[in-house]
Amino acid sequence: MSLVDALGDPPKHQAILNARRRQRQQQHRLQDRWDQWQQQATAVKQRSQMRLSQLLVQLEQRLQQQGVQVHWAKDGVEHNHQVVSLLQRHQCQSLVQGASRLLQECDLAAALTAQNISLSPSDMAGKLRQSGIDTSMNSAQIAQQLQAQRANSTDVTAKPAEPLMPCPVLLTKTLRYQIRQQLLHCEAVIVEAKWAAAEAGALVLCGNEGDQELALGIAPVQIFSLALDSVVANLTEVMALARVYGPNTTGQRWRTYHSIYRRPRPNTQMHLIIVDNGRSQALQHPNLSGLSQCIGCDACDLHCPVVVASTEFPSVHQTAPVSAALRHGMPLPLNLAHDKTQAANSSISGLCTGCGACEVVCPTQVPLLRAMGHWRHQHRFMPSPQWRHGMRLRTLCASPSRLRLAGQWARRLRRWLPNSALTLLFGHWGTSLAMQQPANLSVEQWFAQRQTNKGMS
Amino acid sequence: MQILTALRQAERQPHREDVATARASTVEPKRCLASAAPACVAQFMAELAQVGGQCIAVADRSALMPTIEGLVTNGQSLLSLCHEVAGNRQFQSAPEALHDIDWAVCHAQLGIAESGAILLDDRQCGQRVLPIIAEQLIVVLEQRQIVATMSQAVEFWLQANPELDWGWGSFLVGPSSSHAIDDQWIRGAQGGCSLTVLLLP
Repeated sequence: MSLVDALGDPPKHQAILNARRRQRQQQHRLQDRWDQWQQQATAVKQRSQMRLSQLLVQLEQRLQQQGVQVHWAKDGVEHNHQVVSLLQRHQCQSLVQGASRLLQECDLAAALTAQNISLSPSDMAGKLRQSGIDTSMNSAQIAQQLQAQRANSTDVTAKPAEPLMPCPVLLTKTLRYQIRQQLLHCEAVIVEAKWAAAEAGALVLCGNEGDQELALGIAPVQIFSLALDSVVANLTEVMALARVYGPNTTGQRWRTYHSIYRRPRPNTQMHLIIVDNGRSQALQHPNLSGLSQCIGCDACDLHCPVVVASTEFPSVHQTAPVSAALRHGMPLPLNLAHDKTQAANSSISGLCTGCGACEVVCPTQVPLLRAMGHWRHQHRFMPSPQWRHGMRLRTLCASPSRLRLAGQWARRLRRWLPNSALTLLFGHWGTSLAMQQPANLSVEQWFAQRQTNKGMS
Repeated sequence: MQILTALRQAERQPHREDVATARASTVEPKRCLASAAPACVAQFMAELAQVGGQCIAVADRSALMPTIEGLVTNGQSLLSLCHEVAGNRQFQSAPEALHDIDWAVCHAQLGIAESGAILLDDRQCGQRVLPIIAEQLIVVLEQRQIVATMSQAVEFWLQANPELDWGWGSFLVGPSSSHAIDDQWIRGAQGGCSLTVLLLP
């Protein structure tokens, strides 16, 4: 279960967080060459950044020579459009998708729903989420929900002969059977290539379940999406990144599968979509260029104090500000990001305490604090609705006479307005507060009156 | 091409030069080959056991079949891509036709001591889906094929095939696993449920 899956259950979230930290630290203690590996991984990313355009051209040429069709997408919308047109060209009505942060960033699911193309996740957590089951639930609750769904299902094969036992092993086997049936008949699959090696013309996947490998081995149409900053020179460099990826992600020394794809299977189609989505623009910026060193391992999530603190306050974001920002496409220039992302980002950047724990643990030494400082500065000048209200209030309070007058009117209004109107005005803040009836006088007026009375007596 | 133009502009930015000079290339030092160091074999066996695999030392090639017979129970299907082992299933060119294979046997390209991984490519497996779709996977490996690190494995693999005549390759570090439920690692997700390495001297 990922940290994000456990967001709904703060104690469980905390337990997973602690377990992952322990696993990561254990790996750290066991490996005497940990620092050297981090330096190697950083050097690999920085070297490839310096000649990204060359590497991408080389990768494209190599893959085309091997029969892979390469497409370019400047943003998520274009990526989704290309996926849809590929599926239509190959007359595919359904698509299997491997777990991927890039596809989430592009919002592929929404684009496919709009085109009536069914999308099925190939991983177990994704399958549970698709069935409407909260993956933070324990095995007994999951078994109960699956049982209820099967009882209502019209599919004869889905009905179990015996009731499901609340045992993680048995439930995993049940899910395995279900997903396998889907994967064995899939017509198209889309996965995120974790890395690409330009010299060998190879795309690399990294995972534990083997779901992506199974789907890619069966489906006649295979689509790979690749973030353009995930290209490195050769496979040896890929291994330098994979070495630090496993321990930081799940605490494993190595992920179970590192699969390398160079050409399509006979009589099948293999496509690669190289996605920019603002990365080339971020690379031009001195404060944001280092973000392309990120390998998406979530080590920053595991060590962020805001994550720990926010588990006590579920309304607050429960991933590290830095990680949430990377996940929501914060590196993008503001004009490219979605509106909802902008709103989320403005609050995310404000949550960061600037302690630098994320930067210390980052295996590729991404300059996260510098980027976070940049975002904060940028969002300070973003005209949000709250900012506009604040400016009006500031104008009102600028002169003492105006403030006095406003206070008088506010007190009068409060007497007449019902509590529900206050909730509308102040939102969540208004609901949580037990609003008192206002005094007749302001503090200033009361103090002046008191002084006058004292003088008279 | 707009994207490439933007990237070339980024590469010419003055702040990029700091990065270029700051990081010197660090090359991983060469370490022992297993043929020269038996410690690597022991490390390979220990690492494989840690990731949930099983390593059985076999005296010679003639002992492969009896060992496999001891693992496979009656009625289970066995697909073998090793000429020393006779299977009861024929190889199918359609990948979905392999879905009911209980056991698959194939040769490994390399074994890696530091991770307990084995390297397979489509020249050993025939179908790239075979090591994933089979319920249980048995891999035949010789001790001289074990290298120390993953990076070395990649180098040997590429040096052995400079013309890059493979279309797919995979490093398997134990059987497939998932931690989707109760955050417990359960072996046997979509890939094989077990991995057995038969180690030849």
